[in-house]
Amino acid sequence: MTIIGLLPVDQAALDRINAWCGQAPMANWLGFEATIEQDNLLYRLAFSEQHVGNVITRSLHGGVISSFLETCAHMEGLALLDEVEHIKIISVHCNYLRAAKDLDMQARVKIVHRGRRVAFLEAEGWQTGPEKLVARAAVALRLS
Amino acid sequence: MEEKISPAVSKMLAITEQHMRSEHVLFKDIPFKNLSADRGNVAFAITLPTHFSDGEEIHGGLFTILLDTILAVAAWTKMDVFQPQATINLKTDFFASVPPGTTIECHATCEDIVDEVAFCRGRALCPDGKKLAHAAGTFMVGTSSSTPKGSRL
Repeated sequence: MTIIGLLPVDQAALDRINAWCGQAPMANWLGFEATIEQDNLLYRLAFSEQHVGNVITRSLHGGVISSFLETCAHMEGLALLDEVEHIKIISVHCNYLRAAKDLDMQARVKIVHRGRRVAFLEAEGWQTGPEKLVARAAVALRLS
Repeated sequence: MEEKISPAVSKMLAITEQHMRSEHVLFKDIPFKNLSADRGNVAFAITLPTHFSDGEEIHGGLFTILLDTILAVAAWTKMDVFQPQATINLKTDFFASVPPGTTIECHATCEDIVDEVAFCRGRALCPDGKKLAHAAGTFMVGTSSSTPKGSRL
């Protein structure tokens, strides 16, 4: 089965994400939050001093950005592939398009292709607006 | 034969390490120890803190954060003069995880710096050799303006 693009979500999907956040201190460390905006999931990283990589340029650490986008893709899978019992992240390939400042970050995720055992997703993150992406990540998930 | 790190870079790395241990909000709570360093190669032992966990295990995002950092350190050791760098891209493959509190090793190599781009790879593993994550990344070396692009380390 192939699914392309953003998929509509419901409150049950959001509940699954919130349940994951409740058991993952990493979600708290990232300041991770998901909401439903216009029937799709919108993800947020609430800026914190611990996300800064270079203290002189005050930019977000590249690993933190990749980790945030990876988590967004994982949550998109958790929310929308509800018949899947277990999701494991295989790989994340993140391209850094602009300097990420000491601000909140937001992201959306598209499911590019869903196979029986693997799903491919694309996460896009921005700060000042979605037209100015700071990073884009291709994420592969193992489904079982 | 192992090549020595440039003295100028070596001095800056010592200052950076001290800053990371004492003041850097992200790194000061992550205990680490340098295991080895020569030109283009570094290895660290790192104890994984609880606040990066996902249930009973460490979240893969921490491996990405650590490998992004250590790949860049490997790039620094390859330079003659210490220069800022920004991650262009990073690919992380995840094999397994471990519980918080585990001390792991991270090894990184800078293959080369060509046309101001550093090409690096690295791996996170348990001391017994169990693979946790591999990463490959490229870094833009130096800045061409006062508002550098890319994600700064």
